[in-house]
Amino acid sequence: MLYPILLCSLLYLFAKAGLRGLLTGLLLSAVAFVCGKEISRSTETEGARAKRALRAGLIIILGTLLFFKYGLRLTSLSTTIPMGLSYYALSLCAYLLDVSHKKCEAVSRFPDMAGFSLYAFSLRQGPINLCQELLPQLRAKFSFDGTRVIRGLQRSLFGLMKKLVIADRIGLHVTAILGDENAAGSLILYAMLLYSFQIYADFSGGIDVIMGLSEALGITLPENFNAPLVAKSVTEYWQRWHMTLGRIMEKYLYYPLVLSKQMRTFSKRISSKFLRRVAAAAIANFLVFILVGAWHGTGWNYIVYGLYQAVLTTQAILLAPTYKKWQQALSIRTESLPYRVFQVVRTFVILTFGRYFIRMGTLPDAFALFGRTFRSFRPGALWDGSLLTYEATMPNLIIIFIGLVLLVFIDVKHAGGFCFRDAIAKQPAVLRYAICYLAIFVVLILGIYGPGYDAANYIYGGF
Amino acid sequence: MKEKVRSILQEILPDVDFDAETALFDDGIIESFDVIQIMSELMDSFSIDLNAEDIEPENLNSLDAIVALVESRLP
Repeated sequence: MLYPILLCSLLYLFAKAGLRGLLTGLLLSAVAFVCGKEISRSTETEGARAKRALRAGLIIILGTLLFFKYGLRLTSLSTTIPMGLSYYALSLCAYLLDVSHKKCEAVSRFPDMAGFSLYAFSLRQGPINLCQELLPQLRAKFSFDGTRVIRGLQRSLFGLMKKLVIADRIGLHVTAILGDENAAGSLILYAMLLYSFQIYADFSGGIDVIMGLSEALGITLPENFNAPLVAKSVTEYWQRWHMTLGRIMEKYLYYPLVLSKQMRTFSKRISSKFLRRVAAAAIANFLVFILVGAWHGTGWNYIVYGLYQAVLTTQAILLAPTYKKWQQALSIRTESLPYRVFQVVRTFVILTFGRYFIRMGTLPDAFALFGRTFRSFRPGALWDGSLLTYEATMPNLIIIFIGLVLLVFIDVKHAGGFCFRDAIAKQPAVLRYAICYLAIFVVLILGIYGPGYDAANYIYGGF
Repeated sequence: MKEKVRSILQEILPDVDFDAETALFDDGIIESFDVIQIMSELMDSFSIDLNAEDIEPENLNSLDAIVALVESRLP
């Protein structure tokens, strides 16, 4: 089913990103195709030639990404990045590195390469695919499996619920609060906490739609989330959030950096035994998170966002022994439920402060929002009825509240190994259909629609 | 050899039963920070070269797999 999917992908890319987006995708796929073949041909005979091909491919692909993300922005020629580039550029780099390390065979036909890299469902917001995982599935013959199709569509439907009913409803409310210059600080903090839920429901909802449609076609994409709402630390959060980006960063950047000869030589010069063990990891971790921030966008606010995550995760490495001593000194039972709940809430709040840099378009705006949060906090604004003046009627607030409870509940159960779709599949047919119809009605009746509103506009689509 | 590898692993992760576990990497029992500590210690203790490409489940899922990885790099 490669060719039908490739055709759909190219048409979709052209329709959404125009000729510029289509040509960028095809050209970078061609670069990876040619370089991959060159690497594969050369490794047996001459290593230097393979290395040159690898470097050329990486420089062209990453250079193009940088050009569109930063170069054009600096020259004020354009502010939009071709759709999907942030995602397929990383897939193509991973492909070249995997071919170079003989983890994956070079693709021998260009349609295979374009089919894998420009896979339609992953263009909008990922997940970031690996060639060796996706291409064999694209090449496989399509066979209809009713159960699989229903399960896939079911996942898409739940994804739509997250996106249209929860994320978009929160979005209107949050935008209204943040847009009011006179809003109390407590309301801004409340809005930013909601924004953390919004970005999760928006991103994971979109991914559920993509994963579900792919599943219906018989294609299993890599999971992008593993219950991030239950993360007990920022480090754990990044293992549960946007996992395909994390995998790329870890495998192709973090590990090679930490285990590089230069880093090991540097570490060996350190006299402290503990620092010797962790220095390389701490430095590599710091660099990776700066790049993760830069990947998300083009302003200084994204660099500071990366820096914020870098400081949090790096201090966790460096101060781990100190924290352990504190826990022992205070006789904290780290496995007790209250302490775990405290850790989860603390992590959520810390991450929310980081999102000030993402939510606001520029660094000054982000700092201004911090200022507005703490200058006039006025907690009473949370219950004096002010909330209802920000694009939210009482029924809307109730729906948001139920949505958030459901999001948390699902993540808690998911983290415990419970699969809702498996559980639904075991129910009698009447109940299964009732759940599906209920979900359809919820999306149709409670989803956010209207003129000037784009239901296919995802927050992560902008990265 | 196996004992030496076991003692290295035990020092980094004292709470893990390395004789029983067969999916150390896949199940996330050893996380990325543990992985690099293990790789670094193995390189230093056995004077071998390991690199990022060796970080694969088949090399790290069990004590025996890690021993096999070390043995494959010994001169």
